[in-house]
Amino acid sequence: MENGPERFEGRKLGILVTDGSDAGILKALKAALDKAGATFEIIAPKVTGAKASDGSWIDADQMIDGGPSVLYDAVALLPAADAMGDLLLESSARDFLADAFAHCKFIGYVDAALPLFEKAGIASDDFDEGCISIASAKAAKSFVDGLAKLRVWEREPHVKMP
Amino acid sequence: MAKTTKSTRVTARTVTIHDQKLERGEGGELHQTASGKASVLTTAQGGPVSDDQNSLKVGPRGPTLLEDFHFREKIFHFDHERIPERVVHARGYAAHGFFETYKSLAKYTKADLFQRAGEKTPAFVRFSTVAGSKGSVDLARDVRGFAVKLYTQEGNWDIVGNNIPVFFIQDAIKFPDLIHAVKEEPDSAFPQAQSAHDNFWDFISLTPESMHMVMWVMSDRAIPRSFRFMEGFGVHTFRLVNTKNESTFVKFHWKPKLGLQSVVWNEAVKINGADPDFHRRDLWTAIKTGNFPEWELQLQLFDQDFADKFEFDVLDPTKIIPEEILPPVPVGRLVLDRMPDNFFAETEQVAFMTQNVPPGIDFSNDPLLQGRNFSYLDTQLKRLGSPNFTHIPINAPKCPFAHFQQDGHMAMRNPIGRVNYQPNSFGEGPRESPQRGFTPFPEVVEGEKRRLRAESFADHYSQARQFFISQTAGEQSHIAAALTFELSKVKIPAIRERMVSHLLNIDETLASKVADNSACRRCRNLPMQPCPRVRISILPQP
Repeated sequence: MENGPERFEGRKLGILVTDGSDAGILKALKAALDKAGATFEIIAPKVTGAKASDGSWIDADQMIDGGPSVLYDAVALLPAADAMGDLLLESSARDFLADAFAHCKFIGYVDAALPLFEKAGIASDDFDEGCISIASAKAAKSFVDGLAKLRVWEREPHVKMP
Repeated sequence: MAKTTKSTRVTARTVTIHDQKLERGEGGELHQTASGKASVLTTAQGGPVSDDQNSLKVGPRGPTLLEDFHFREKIFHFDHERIPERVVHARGYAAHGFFETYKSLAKYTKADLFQRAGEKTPAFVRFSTVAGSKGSVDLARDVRGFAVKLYTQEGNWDIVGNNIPVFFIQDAIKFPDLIHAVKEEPDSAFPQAQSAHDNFWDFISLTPESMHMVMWVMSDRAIPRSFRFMEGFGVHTFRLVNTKNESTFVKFHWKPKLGLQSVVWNEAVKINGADPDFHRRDLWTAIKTGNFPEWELQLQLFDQDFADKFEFDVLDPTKIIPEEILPPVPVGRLVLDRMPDNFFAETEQVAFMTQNVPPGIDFSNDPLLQGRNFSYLDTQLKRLGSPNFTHIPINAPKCPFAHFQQDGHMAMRNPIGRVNYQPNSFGEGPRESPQRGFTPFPEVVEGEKRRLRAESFADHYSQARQFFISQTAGEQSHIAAALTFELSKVKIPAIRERMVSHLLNIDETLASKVADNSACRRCRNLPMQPCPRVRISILPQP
């Protein structure tokens, strides 16, 4: 860990989207990842994809069942508020976040995703430096820049018994 | 004789299945027939095939006829598609690439690939797990094989390494025992691809020389995030030999350009379910999208004087030479830029052998290396079925070669002309070359013929401790958690206790943490008796 690579190059971000996901934030994430030499996969409730906030279509790589967060180095949660009712019913969406948190991964989120944290057993005072709001394109870019650390090992004592 | 142009198919109707146009036979089966660009299906003998959906029968509901040579050949070949999987490292994945030399190493070695800066040598690299079978999961807690085949201009050089610089055992004679112990238990045939069971830890707890390796294999290195984010090591001490026949000892290190990265255990367990081919898919995707993984070859170079003064024996494969004491020197880079077109042809049939060395690279007397040099030919013959396995393109040298080895199963490359021996008076065929040929370093060796382990191999704990304390607090807790998990799967309390008593010789905090967490209720607070430094007798041990 001490001699870690300090780069996200060659790594992969898992981006969870729903209908209504913010197209601008998604675009900013993709651009920042591309610049970092990193890749991403889009995870949506249905593998056909989702319709973004600006009406454009987001092709999905995985449906939520097929793209658990263990397959990614970090995750970003971009659900729209209207889609949260369904997402909160879906246990694999809960696992997606709960596992990412348990595995000390960086988690970028928009405010609409906050109820999923509660569902995943992550209380507001559990939030740490690895839980990062990406409410704007600018925040999304700085989230990706911070991924070079790869994991939030400081979290581990809070998610593993000694 | 009646002449007929009637098709073997009685009637056929063209049907559309969504986007595909096919013909439908009497039984509703679909036929795709050759037309346009599609070539005609043939038997392996080249005979065109009329119908690949129906075997030849007497009447539509009658028995199948023995004379149906197409059916017979098709089933025959299918039944023989498998070859024995590797007895270890069965689960693997490989890629093509090249090794590029930074600058001439002529001072140290006459090996052709190290003579010219910028020289590119074709390479084929296979990564693997050790214990699991060919179809097992990628994220098992295990050592990873890191085998590099370099097609040099003076023959193939295989650096058959691992992602961990040490090994469990000091002498190859223990290898079958180690592997039997880690593989599935012979009566139940489980657990596969896991070291977390009684047999493995029973053997380990009675094999103190494995303690250093155990620390590494319980560390994050044993659950890598990607083949691309692993280090590789030649493990043993080798020799470089120059044109003046001077020897320099060497240890080989591959350093990944994108750094080291691992996953956590809970994550590994879930990856194995979600994508058992996680590492395969990762390498495939990276290379297919032009993100070519790269490693730097670094050498630890030292002379006999250093070896004599070093506090451990450089012939002992359970020891490293710390990089702080002997910094590795970068000498070239390895880039993987092409996936095989066919997995079986290359990744499955590639035959790595530690004894494949070109002139200028030589062995040390490391007893694990010496045993490996003996073993690999047998494994290739068993798996590939013929001494002609070097005729398989992935194993053939890419430099000119000539010898009088001939015949045998599946001989693909056969000599032309009358001479298949030498000396001969016809002036034909290749001849030996004292100048260019491989000559071993003329080390002076003497001693009594005995089955003895060198006393200089006897310290089993110091480097295990050094490794453990070199880790960050987080990494140390991963090692403790890994040991706790593994021992929690061990049913026999005495085995767990035995392991804890070894750990007491490595680090007391680690030992007590594992003892507390692995429900070792009766753990005696007694360290395992280490081997005394000076042995009283040199009679056959113990």
